[in-house]
Formats: sequence, C-alpha cells, structure tokens
Amino acid sequence: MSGAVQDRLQQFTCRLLGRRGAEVDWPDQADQGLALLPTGIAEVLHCLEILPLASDAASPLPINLSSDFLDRVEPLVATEPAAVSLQIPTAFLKQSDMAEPVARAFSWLNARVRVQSAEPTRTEYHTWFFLATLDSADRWQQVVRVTVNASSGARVPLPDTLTEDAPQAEPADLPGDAPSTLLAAARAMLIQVQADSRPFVDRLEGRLGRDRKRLQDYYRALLRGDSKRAARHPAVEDAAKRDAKAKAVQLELRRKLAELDERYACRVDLTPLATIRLDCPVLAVRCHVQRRAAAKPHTLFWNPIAKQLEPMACSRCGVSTFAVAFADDSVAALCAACQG
Amino acid sequence: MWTVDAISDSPRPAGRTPGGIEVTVRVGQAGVARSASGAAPAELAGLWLRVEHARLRLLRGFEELLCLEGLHGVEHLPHQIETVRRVLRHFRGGVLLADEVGLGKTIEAGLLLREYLLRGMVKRVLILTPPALVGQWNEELSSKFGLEFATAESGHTIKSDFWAETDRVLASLPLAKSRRHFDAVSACPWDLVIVDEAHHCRNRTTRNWQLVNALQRRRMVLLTATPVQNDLVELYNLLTLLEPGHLKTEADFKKSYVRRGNPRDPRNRERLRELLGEVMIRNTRSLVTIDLPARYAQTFVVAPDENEATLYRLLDTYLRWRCQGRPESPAAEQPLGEADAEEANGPDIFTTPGQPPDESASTGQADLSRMRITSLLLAAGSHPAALVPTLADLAEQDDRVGPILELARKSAQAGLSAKETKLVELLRAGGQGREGKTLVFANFTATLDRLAGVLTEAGIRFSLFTGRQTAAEKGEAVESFRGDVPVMLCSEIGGEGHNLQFANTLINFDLPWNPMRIEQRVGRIHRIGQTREVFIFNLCTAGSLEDRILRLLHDKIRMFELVVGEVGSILGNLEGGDEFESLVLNLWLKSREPADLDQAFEKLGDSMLSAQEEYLETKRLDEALFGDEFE
Repeated sequence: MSGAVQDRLQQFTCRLLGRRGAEVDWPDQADQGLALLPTGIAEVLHCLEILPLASDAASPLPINLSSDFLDRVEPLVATEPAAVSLQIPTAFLKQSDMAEPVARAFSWLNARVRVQSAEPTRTEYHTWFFLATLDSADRWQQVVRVTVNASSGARVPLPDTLTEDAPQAEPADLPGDAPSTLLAAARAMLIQVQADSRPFVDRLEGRLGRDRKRLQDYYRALLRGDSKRAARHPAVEDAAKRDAKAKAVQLELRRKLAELDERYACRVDLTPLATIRLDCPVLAVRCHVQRRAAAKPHTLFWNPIAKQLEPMACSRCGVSTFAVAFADDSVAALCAACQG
Repeated sequence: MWTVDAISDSPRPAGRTPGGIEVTVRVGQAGVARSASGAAPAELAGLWLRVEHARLRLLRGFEELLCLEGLHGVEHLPHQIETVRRVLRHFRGGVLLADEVGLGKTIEAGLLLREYLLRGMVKRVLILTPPALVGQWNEELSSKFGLEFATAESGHTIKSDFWAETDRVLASLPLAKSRRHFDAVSACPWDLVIVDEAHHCRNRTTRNWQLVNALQRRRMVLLTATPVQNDLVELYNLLTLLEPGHLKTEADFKKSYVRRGNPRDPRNRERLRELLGEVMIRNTRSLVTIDLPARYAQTFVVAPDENEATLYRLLDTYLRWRCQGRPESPAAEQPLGEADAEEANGPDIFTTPGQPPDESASTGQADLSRMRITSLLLAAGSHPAALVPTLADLAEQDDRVGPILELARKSAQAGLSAKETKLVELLRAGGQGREGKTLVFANFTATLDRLAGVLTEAGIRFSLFTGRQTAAEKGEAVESFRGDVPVMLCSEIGGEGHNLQFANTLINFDLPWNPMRIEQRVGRIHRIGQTREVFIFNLCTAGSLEDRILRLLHDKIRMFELVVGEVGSILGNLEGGDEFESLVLNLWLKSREPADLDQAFEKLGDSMLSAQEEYLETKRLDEALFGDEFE
C-alpha cells in the first residue's frame, strides 16, 4: 500500500484506540505494532485484547483498505462527537478607517452604501464537513468542508481547523442559541460540488448523449424499415394500421428516452458529518444602504484570521459575493444573477 | 447554477447540468445538524476521527485514485482515469479492456496495476504478452509507473521455483504455455493476471486459452482492441476466461445471441450489450475525441562515401567471420535502450551466467555476444563516430580490428557525410517551407556530439537533450527549445516526460530496429495537444540494415501512416515469437550475401503484411460489432 495511505491508517488506528483507553505501541514507519485493548473494545472489534497491529492480510485485524477494518471500527467512530465548540480569545483587529477597504473589496451594483462605524465584536463561524454524493448512472463522492459566518450566512475561506496549521483555538462552552447555518452551508456546498464534479458530469452527459442517439437510431431504423416494407407491399397493411404502428414506435421511443433521462438524473445528497463552532473576535463594519427611497443598515465583517473583509450572502440563493445589488423594498442583498 | 432552497429529507429540484440532466438535492439532517447548537466542549480529536474515517472510506471506494501521483511521462487522460475508476468500482473480478488501438490500454492496465499495488490489494502479479512486446512492457512499467518486474525469457535459465518465488513476473505467453512452464505457472496463485493482446486466447482449443483458463488468479484483466475475428464464439471464449458462466454455456450463447448462418452477426443485441457491459469496457476514438492532425513521412536513402562504404563492408565481413558457426539465436533478448546500445561490454547473453564464454573453433576468439553484434551494427547505421568506442574496446582483444578502427576514426573526423549534408539541408529548409520546430533523434551520444559540431559549424542553433544530463540540464534544454531555439538534438530517451508537442518535425538521423521504438519517437510530437501537421524524415545509408528495415516499415506496412498503437497490434500478430531486433539480427546472421538478406527481408515483409491484413480485417469486424457502445 502507498506510504501515505498506510501512514494515515496507522495514525487513525492509534488515535482511535488510544482514545478508547487502549495501550497502543506502533511507532511511525514501523510495519507492525501492538495494542492492549479494553475488553469492551475488543468485543466491538471481534478480536482478542492483545491485538497485533499490521496491514498484512494475515493479521487478525488487517489494517488496510481492502479488509473490513473500516467497517469494524465504525461503531467506535459513530460514538465520537460530531460537533465541537472552540473559541479564539483574542485577535488583532484592524483599526484604520474601513471606508476605503470596503470600497476596494465590494462593488455596489444599484445602491449607495456608506460606512458608518467599525467596532470590535465576536461572531461564530460554523465549519461543516459534508459527505457529498452525486448519484446517477455512476456515482461521485467527496468529503467537502465549508465554513460560514453564522451572522451573515456568507461563506468564508478559513483554514481547516483539523489540520496542524489551523489557528490556535481553545475549547469553549458556547450558548445553544446560535442561528442554524445548515442551509447556508448546504448552499455553499452545492456550489462547490457543482464545480468539483464537473468532469464527472461532463462524462455523464457524453454517455447520455450517445445512449440517446443509439435509441433514436434504432427506432428510426425500425420506422424506415416499416415504411420501406409498406412501399414494397402496399396492399398488405392499410394506411391506418401503418400510422398506428408508427405512432406506437414513436411512443415507445419517447418512453425509452424518458427512462434514460430518469436513469441519468443526478441526485445530490449532502450528508453532514461534523460541525465545528468557532467563536472569534471580528470587526463589525456597520453600513447604511440607500436603495431608491428605501434604506437599511447592513453589517460587513472583517475577519482577523483571513485578514480580509468577508463577502455578503445573497438573500435569495445564498451565494457569497463581493458584487452586491439590493432588492427594491426590503433592501436585502442580492447577487448579480438574482438581481438580473 | 444548482441551488437548494430548504433543508429536506426528500430530494428537491436544484437545477440542471449544462447538458440538461435534471439535478435534485437532499440535505441530510443527521444528528450532527441538530447538535450544531449547544455543542459539547472541545472533542476535536474525536471529530477528526469521524471525518478521517469518512475520507478513508472514500479511498476504499476508489473515489480518489492513488496511482496518479508519482507517474513519469503519463498524461492524465480523462477516459483512462474514468476507465480505471470504473474497473475498480464495478468490475471486481475481471474486465476485458477493448479500447480501440492507440487509446492507451497499456496505460490503463498500468494504472490499475499500480492502484491495486498501492492499496495493498495485490501482491503477486503475472503479466503475459506477445514476445514482441515484453521489452516494451518492461520498459514502460519501470519508467512510467516505477514498477520493476522480473522478466522470464526463453533462452535464459529459468529455475523451477521462479514462478512461485517471484511476486511480479512479466513473461511472453508462448513461454508461459510451453510444456516446461505450463504446470508451474498454473500451479501458483496470482492476485492479478494481465493478458495483453488477449485475442490470442479467443480459441479455447489452443494452449493459450487453456493456460489462461488454468491460472489460479483473483483478478484478471484482458487487453485487446480486437476481441472478435471470425465468430462471436471467440468473444464468448474470452469472456468465459474472465467470468465463467456469465454468458452461460456455449450452446446457450449460440442459441440466444448468434444468428444461424452468420456467426458474426449477433441476435438480441440489447441483451447481449447489457451482458457485455458488465465485463467489458471499450473506449473509441470518436468517444474520447482524440483527433490528431495528419502526419507525413519521407525517407532519404543516401549513398555512402568511399570510406564509409569500405568501413561498412569491412565491419560486415569481420562480424560474419566472428560469427561463423554460430547457431541461430535461441530466442528473444532484452531490447536495446540507449544505455544498452552504448554498453558494448555488456554480458554475453549466449553464455549462462557464471560460465566462461565459449571458444569459437573457427576463429579462436571468444564469441561475440548478440548484444555486441547488434550494438556494432546499430552504430554503423548511425555514424562512424558511434563505432569508435566499441571498436577500440574490441581492438584490444583482436588485432584484426585495428584497420577497421582506423577507418572508423578517419571517417568520424572527415568532412560532412552524405547523411549529415542531408540533415543540414533539411534543417535549413525547415526555416522556409515547414513552420515549427524540429527534433533530431540519434541513438548514440557519440553521434549526437558529432552532430552538435556539424550544426554549430553550419550556424544552426540547437539545444541538446541526452541521457547523461542532469534533470535541470534537460529541463533547460527543453525550455530553450520551447523558446527561440529551432532544433533539439535528442537521444533515444527523447524527452520522455516533457511535452514536446510544440515541435512538429522529426528527423530520424539513425533508426532503432524495433518499430515500437520508432513509434515512441514519433509519439513524442504526434500526440494529444499537437495541432499542426507532423513531418517525419528518415535518413539512412543505402544498403544498410536500416535501409531494409525502412523499406519494410515504410513501403510494406506504411507504418508512418498508421495510428499510434497499430504497429504493436501488427507485431503481436507476427508468428515466430522473437523481439523484432532479434528477428532482424537473425536474418543478418543467416544471410551470407546482400541478395540473401534482401530475400529474407522480403519474406519478413510478407509476414508483416499478413499480420497487418489480419489485424485490419479483425478491426473492421469489431468496429461493426461493438460500435461505441461499451464506453
């Protein structure tokens, strides 16, 4: 197996068993290790309490991708927390006037926007891990991560909190009244999935096109055969019968084409795997938006981790954008496409 | 753009793909969604385990291919990657890869093999190919995929436990099925068996079929662009090797799917298509839209000057004298790479390792190895300068070589040879008639050094790319060629791994004997990404072996007009079972006079023509039979 995958499996195994009270000795780069498992864990894994750790197919629990290792540890993984709260206690916040950075970052498509004030505050960011599946005549899957600002619903490009170079955060006991960001995250996720699965979808479309052509060619050949036969032997079938037969063939073609469309229809399934709530100091930039006679205050956020202003979320489709229009009466933010 | 307007357990319309496929979205509300508010204090490590577990599961599901990293000189073509993914995901036991010629079945098989190995899913691998392709496979596995295989070759001592003790074996099918090896090969368990040009197994009464059928294997990949030649039952036989019973019994198959009176015409096409789709993938050129521009080839046969002619004659006489009494080659040997060609002191393959070389009764000299003879003949076909190092070495053992060496030195230092004059002429014309850049290939570094001098003298700017350079120097050479330098002098490795499609003219200053190697050279510029017509010029000396080989390839089978990959199919159909270099050397060894040699080459040409006709006939049938329905 590739070194990279084997290393990942080894790290995963050591961490999982270690968290469940096992004594694990499996040094990096070593082919084999040993674990002393608590009885309960050994029972879940259907193995003895003294467990040799190795990728070799001959070992009692072969830790590789082709064995059932990942299935056997699933009950243990399922009890791990799916949501975690963290906070960044302090961060350097920009102190200069925000009017110019706002003007540089945003394009206001149909309204006058005036920066009123900028003040430090705290907001929550929700990082969602989804298993994205695109099911059609074939299947495409990916684990996708997306972070949204819980106050604005906009997607924010923050580093992965699960990696080592993530910002230093502390455990936090956050209040339970944070707004749900699942829909905002799902919207951002869908945009991501659409981009990432493009080669897959291109391939599907190619196959669908060819399958359609094959069906059409076949049924047209049937029709041609019938009309040739009719021309050769006009007396055998009367015209009404021939018409009925031709209609039946066309009907069947339509039905087959509809079946084909159904087979190739794409079903996107976004299954949340885990969420991280991160409470973070930010600079809230209060703006006054004037759209014709209507006016409304909006808040923009300057993020100290990304060190930039965050985009706004379209109130209709959820897309995050720096080119913002506003609805006539509600003065709600809109992306260029939704304004169009 | 796809959109989602609400969280819902049932799918909701989300839009359409650019091609009009309907898209629906369902957003799951697993426990995680509900627990997002009011979360427990940090349990980041546990959360990491959840996410990593999901990612590892995807790896297991082949969503991400591991084999794509660390390849050398392999372009990531979508149809190949998709094929690999489909095989891994849907064809658990085995698959018939029946891509049209030139779409990279070998690459697909290599990717599959590498993926299986990287995931630890296979350990013992057996690859069976026609004899003519063993060298090609070995080289590609090593250079492109970083996989080393032990090659079992006829003529070499193969220990009885070789098949059981060696985890990665590459062998020719005739060798594996031979009486000596059949039982040993079929007695070993193999995790993966790959059979190239598998149409050689389409008749179940042959030992080819019987061997493959007898192999103990967990997975099998059959490769052929032409699965059916005469009869649909051949397809039945091939697929029965993969999945016995998939098409039921032969009688059932014939009854259900073969039209009486015409064994090539299937009945119940739809049902047969479905069944075939479960065990076979066939990418076609129309599906993957590989449409290369035309290529044109021209050969210039130049008369040698007096010195060259004498040198060639003396060398020929000397080598024939040294070979008196030599039996015909027992079999194939390693193909010559650049290193081999230059490594004149290589091991004598006529002798068993560990034993002293035979003494030739007629000459009183230690026998010359086939490799050394080949190397000398190839060098003679390249340039007198290429002969000097090998002859100098030989002269230390045999005084008779002295005069030939002197003549070679003299010729090497003489003014422009006829080939060099033609080369300069072509390169100068390049700036006028044909637009674009020119790649000049030569097999020997001594030849390249000489050509570098010639071009400098002629005032033609060039960069130099050889196997003895460092990676940085090679990169620099390619970059300046990409920039404003019009010519690159290239050794046999020919810029492997570098994109050279910006050049569209190739000059073969000398010629490898193996057509597959010539095709590799052409493939450096006539490949995906090439937008202009490609011109190939071959230079050779009248009366040389290269002259005869070119007549065979150019005039008989019109090799330079073939689609990339077709040469392999033709060679695979050649009867006999030697590597092409070996065939050429055998012809040379057997012929005493030029007329004999001409006659022998004429015969070889006829065999190649028959092999080509067989291939073309089969190709026509398979196109009619399968169309583009198995992508």
